[in-house]
Amino acid sequence: MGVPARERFEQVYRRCRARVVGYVHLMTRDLETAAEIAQETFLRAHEERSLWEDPSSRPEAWLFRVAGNLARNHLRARGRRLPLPEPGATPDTLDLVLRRDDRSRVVAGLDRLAPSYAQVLLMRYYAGLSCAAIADELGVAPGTVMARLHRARRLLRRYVQ
Amino acid sequence: MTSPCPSGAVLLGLVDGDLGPDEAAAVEAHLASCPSCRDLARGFRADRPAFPEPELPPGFWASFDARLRARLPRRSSLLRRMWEVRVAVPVPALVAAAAALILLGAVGARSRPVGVPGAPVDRVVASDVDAAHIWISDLM
Repeated sequence: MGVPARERFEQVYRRCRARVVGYVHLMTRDLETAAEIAQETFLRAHEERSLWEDPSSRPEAWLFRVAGNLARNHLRARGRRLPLPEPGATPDTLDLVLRRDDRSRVVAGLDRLAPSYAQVLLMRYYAGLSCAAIADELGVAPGTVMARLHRARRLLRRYVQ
Repeated sequence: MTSPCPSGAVLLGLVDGDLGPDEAAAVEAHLASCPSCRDLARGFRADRPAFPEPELPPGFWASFDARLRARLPRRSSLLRRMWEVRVAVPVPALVAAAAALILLGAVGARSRPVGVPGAPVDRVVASDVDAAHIWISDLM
């Protein structure tokens, strides 16, 4: 990696590391897992020379796609999304904890969304990527991303209420 | 006559700034004459999802940075220095310098008496030549 590419990597790393960790944390609900997946994402990004040497590349969108896929693989392997309740806690107790405030309810609502909806929702409104960047990265049309966002927001609103 | 109502996805695209200029202008024109779409757009604006940030323990980022730094592929200090020199000095100049170094090493080795055991100078010259080869291969 040449010096300009290395500098670009470092700039993107500084700018995005918190959002990548936060993004994976929202998906996995576990900080240690989020940190590990974010590390793996940045290591892979570092090896992907074209991201840093090609001025037209969009490293941020790449980071969130890869981090999201790693998080989804992790969740699939683990077979569950929410942390297990404490011993003795009833589902009602867990529900009460999740409903403590609106943001917790939003997070709980995310769990009920299909992964493809949760992914575009977080890429757009948490990571702050444009619809065009998300579409490019996921290999779908911008209209498809807009449709998924619309559907995801409707479902999330329903789940949160 | 008003244009047909855009889909919810398109209205959301307008609110989020995701439409191209022409499409955005057409939807804006529609909104001017359609109260129900205006309400829908207003709802999208008010209802933008917000997500919580994780609570991080003290020292989280220092540890995160250190772990990543330790896992990134590392170059030897020699190669790292050469990598930096590579930017500042033109490659042909470095190639010429390395060739001169090899030549000097060869002349120096020939000018010394053959068969003097354990001459330290030989080892120094040999290691310089090896280093030059490493430098060159890294530059190519």
